[in-house]
Amino acid sequence: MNPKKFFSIVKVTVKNLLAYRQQFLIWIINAPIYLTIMLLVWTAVYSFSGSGLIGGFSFNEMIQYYVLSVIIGTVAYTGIDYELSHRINHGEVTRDLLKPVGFFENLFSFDVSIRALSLVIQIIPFVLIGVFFFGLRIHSVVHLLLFIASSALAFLIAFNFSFALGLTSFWTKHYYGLGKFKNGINKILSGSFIPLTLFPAFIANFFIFLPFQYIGFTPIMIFLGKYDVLQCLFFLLIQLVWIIVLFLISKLILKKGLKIYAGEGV
Amino acid sequence: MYFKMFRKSLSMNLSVLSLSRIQFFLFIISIIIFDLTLPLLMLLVYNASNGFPGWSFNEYLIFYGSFLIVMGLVQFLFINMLNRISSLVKRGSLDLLMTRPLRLITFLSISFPNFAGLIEVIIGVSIMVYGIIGAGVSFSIISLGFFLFFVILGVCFFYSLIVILSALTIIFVDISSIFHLLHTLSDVARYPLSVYGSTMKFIFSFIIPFGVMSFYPSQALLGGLTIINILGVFASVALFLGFSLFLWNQTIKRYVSVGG
Repeated sequence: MNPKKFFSIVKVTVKNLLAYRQQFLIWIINAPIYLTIMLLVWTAVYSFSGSGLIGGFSFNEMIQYYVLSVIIGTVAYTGIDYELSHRINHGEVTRDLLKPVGFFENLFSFDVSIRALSLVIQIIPFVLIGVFFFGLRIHSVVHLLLFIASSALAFLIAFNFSFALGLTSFWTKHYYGLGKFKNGINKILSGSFIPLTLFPAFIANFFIFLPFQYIGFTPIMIFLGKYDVLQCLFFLLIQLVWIIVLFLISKLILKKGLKIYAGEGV
Repeated sequence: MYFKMFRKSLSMNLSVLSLSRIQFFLFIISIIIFDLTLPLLMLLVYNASNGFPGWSFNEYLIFYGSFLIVMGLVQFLFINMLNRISSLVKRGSLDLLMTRPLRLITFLSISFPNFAGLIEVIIGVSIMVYGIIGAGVSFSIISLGFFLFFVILGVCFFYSLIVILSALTIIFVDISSIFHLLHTLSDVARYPLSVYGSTMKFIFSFIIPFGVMSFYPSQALLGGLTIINILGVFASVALFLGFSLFLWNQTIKRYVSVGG
């Protein structure tokens, strides 16, 4: 994709998002409230447990897990499926197809701009809050770099997955049910609620074959140093494979969807 | 008149939801998945540890079922009000509603029911009954009466939060992320107050009474209520509701239209 076109879309999207700035304050307030609740909950569970480890995590690791879960959620959570569904149902795809930029590339740029804004407005404050108030510490510089790479790949997995799902609106017209279902499954299977190590082994082993754990759980485990470098590289490779698979599926569904697209609502 | 409007709005909500049967089916399935997730994850936590101090797993189910019943009723009656107000303000359509011969807050409160809330109430009752049977709890009619009393108070408290956030939405026009804040605030009530320590327990009981959404209804059934709890929580919810309506009225008086 032409970098000039990419940055044009990013610039316009960022300007639109900055029209009403107060919502960013809400985003920033949200995370500390959630993390404080989790801190108090797990403090109670660990103190009542009598054991230093739950699910293979010490108390400090568990708190860091939730801090990282919030950071990863900001990077990897994407509403592109809802955006896509809205554009399909309101005939805005017609306008997008007339632009001198590919449809997929257009929406990718749109989502990247939201992530870029999140990076500045949310992630940096979250990291600072995590470091100063919740004991966030790096395991090693190598693991930090691998975590950053894994987070970027997690975003690409989440984007392609959501994009493919959003495209079903070409056929179904409505997306609210599938969207809610996806969000629910994603939250559980990506390890956002609790670490996947708390699941029974036979269930956790099944999760390996799904893309969700590579959106949240895997980057977090890399940061916490739960994997050695070779294992980290292996998981990065698996993430790459999922990106390619989901990208190809998206392209296929997009090709078929555009054939039946009628521009309703234009 | 308002009841007729509510019935009509509910019927329209059902019609919209059932436009696509597959989406409707997935929507109901996802609500069930969402609501069963936390109890199932808590089961994993209880298997891996001793759980929450002072709460067996079945008692936690009673607690969580109470939470779902309150949240289900809130969802059924009021939850859509917040994002609809945001949409109305951005489009400048709130002005039109203000010219109608209706009390604005009442009209907005009853015009956007959500059928999904009823499903959540059913799930909450089921989880609670399962917990009651598992814990072997027995309770009197008076206890049940206090349970319903606290459920109503819980709905009133969360309604107050929605009114406060709606007022902020009118002031700031576009704070779509406020819905996420509401969800995060409701997380406080997903866990027993005892996990937060005595100071936070006091705050969440008598100052910002999140405890009325789940902790106190479940205590009514588990026999943990005192007169101080009952009167104190009632007073704090009443004050909170009064404050929210005061803030709303002040916001409407100072409202300046945008968009449109």
